[in-house]
Amino acid sequence: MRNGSTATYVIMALPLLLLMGFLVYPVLGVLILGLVVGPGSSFQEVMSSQVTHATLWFTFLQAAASTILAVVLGLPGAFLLARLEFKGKQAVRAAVILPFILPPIVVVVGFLRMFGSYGFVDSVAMALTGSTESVVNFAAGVPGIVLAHAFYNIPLVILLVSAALERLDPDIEDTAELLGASSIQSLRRIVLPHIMPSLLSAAILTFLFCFMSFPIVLALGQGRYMTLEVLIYYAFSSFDFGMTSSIAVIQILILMALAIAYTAAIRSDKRDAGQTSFIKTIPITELSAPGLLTGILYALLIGVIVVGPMIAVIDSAVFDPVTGQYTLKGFLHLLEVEGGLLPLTNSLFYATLATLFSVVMGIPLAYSLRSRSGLLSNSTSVMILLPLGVSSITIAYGLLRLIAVPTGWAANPWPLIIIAQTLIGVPFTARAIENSLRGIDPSLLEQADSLGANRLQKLFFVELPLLAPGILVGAAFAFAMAIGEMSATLFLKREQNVTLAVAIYENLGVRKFVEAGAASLLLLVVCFIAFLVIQRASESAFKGAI
Amino acid sequence: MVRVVLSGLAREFADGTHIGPIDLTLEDGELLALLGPSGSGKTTTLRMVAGFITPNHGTLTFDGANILDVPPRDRGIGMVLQSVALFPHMSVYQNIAFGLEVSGWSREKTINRVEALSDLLGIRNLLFRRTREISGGEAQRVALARALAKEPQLLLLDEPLSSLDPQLRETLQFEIRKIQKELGVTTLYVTHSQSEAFAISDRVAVLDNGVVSQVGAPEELYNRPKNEFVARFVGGGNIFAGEVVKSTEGEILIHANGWRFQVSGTSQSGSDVVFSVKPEDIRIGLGERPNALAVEVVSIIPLGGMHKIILQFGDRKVTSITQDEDLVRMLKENESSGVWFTFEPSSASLLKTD
Repeated sequence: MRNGSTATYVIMALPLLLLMGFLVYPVLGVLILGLVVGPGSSFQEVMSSQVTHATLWFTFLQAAASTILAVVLGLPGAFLLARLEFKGKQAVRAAVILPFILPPIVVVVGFLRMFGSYGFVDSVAMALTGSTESVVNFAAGVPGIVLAHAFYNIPLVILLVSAALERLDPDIEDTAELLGASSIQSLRRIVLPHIMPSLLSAAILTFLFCFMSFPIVLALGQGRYMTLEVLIYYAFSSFDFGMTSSIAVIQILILMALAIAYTAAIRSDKRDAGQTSFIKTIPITELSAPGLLTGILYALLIGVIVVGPMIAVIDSAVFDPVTGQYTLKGFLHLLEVEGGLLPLTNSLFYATLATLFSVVMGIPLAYSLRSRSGLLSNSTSVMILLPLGVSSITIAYGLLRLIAVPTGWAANPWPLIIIAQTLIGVPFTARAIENSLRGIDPSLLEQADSLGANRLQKLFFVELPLLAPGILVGAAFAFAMAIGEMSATLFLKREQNVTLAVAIYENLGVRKFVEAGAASLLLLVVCFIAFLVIQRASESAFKGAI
Repeated sequence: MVRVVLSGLAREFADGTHIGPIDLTLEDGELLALLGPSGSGKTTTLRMVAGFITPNHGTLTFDGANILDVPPRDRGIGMVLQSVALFPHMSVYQNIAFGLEVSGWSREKTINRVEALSDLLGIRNLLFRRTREISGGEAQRVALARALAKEPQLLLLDEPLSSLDPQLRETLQFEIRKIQKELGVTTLYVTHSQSEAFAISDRVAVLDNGVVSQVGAPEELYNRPKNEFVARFVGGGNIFAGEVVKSTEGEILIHANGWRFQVSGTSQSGSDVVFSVKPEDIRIGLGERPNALAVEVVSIIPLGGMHKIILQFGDRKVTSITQDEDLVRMLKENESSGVWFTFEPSSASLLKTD
């Protein structure tokens, strides 16, 4: 970076400035504005309000319950995936990231069909009890919220913990056994301490995710259950900006504390990582009969909770629960201009542009992350963590009040939707590109240097082609996130800006279930394609290590 | 402590590789080195003794009692591996005390035992360090202390020093040997290094392709290798193959590579034989001499205090080691006169052929 280093720094600083302008400024500004000017309740009033206390309490409780459920159900899976040797293990390992990129509102549709009244589980229960009325409904209220959160986070726990388990040196287990440790002692004193940092970071991440969960709580909570995020939305809808900002401040402070705890946890995880070695595995054929039975029961349970809702989406696209009949009405609705075509066009338009911007910003950000300048790399890593730590509703609130109002975009705020979706996608593109940047052999670049390539030639002919798989992974992630984004979009949109994800939510509200189902299936297919792209590209980029 | 007998121990793996049958006896209190190139089955053999690999055939006894059905943790074994495998989240003290704690030793007894062992191994000052804060050599000492904590009747060492630099390796070889003798613990020591095996052990078992090729004291293997593999692997020996053309009492004349060699031993006239001669028994001379073999010098390699001289003899190379500085100088300056080599008939070993 000898010549043109000023230009390089300008390029690297540009995305940081954009993030300052479209993320830090609106969020900080709107919080201060709301607290100082209002209009609405003061911070003290909000803090002493019963609603705040109840919501805060519920937000914590549901996040804690969801985290415990995800850890309890995810841990056995992590052990099975790490220890067992079976056909299709690679496919299972790859499929674990699929739930993560599915839009929450699609998951809600799947959950209603799978666990809701007259859904799959209910039908079985009705057949067993001989009842003609609905017997169980797990897709509403607290059970629905906690189960839907488990759907997202069981795979997360499995992924993170099994990866840590696989780094457990088999020699260490052998040594512990020879020293007389029983399998219980070895589990408690050797294996658990080994996976503790990654288990902790999975738990914190799960808690963080559930803490600011919006679409699931909004749709399954039926207005009776609210998280802070939902309360921010309602407070804004009733124009109580003082309350909106107050709740957002409380939420941000808690999220920041969790984010710091998470960073500390992954740091200690990396410290103990050591060299890669492979844990002792057992071929599935050598499993004892009770062990095999437990494994099958576990797989069935995970199948019901995680695979079931995805399959239920397919059924919900053609089954109308209102008439109780199979129909193509949902798909026909998708083809109507006023029904599905406008939201679909909007979704594709916004998501494509957001993906493009995320990639364009992600490349210099990835270089900044790898920069030798500590200031640059640290400020970048904080900056790309922000969209994960500041909730999408708060971002949308800031964009609407501080960008849309002065620019006059409020009447048709489509650029803001793209900005919000870009902000949500940037952490993924930056991380994925940085990951593949790390894999580039520096001697290749020195080769190009010694052959006389200048900085730009090196970038376009050597580095970018090598980065292509990483860029593709990041882009696919960003696209899936953008097209499934509902929170910020719901907050920002006017009538003409409705996206598919928002349309699904609105259709659910007016009991147009099959219309919602058809749109959900479409999003499911799009996200599945993104998932396949991620798999293919990451195989060639970093041997499937996401 | 214990007499270990492996008889006919064999194991086939799913990928078709095959180890054994292995017959081997470890006498009470001896240190036996298992020596062989990589892939010869050393580690598999050690892991069968430890109980981590179950053999398909054969028996394994400790003091005459069958041990195959006993799980590893109850075999009374201490083990040290090349990877050291110290528990990364524990201190040095906790590592050494681990085996004692899981067996329910009292706190006081545990502390006394750990302190005694750390004194024995000179690691008392490291006890409260984290394992990633100590050096490779220190880590091996800790691993050894941990393995010895429960007073095992059998110690298994799998290439424990391979990742250390040569100087440290020698120091630790000496220490391991000293402690092993002091405690009298029967020890199986796996290594691929001939010099390490010879430096440390009472007896050496040479493993070739999953079977024991020869067992014996280091000198025995070196001076009297039974077969070509041992001669090459242990002695770095010169191997000659030829036909017996004349057999008199105690001595035979062998026709090999267009030359006749006088070798001690008996064999029928007309039979094919292989024999080896150690490098230090090959004597090199200069000048005209009848009854000696004319050869060319290929290279002279200084080894510090001695020289290794490689000769071209027909289509094969012959290695000689000499301490004669004058000879080396003359060989280097020599341009015209012939070079020859010879050896005493009694210094050659007739080898078994398959």
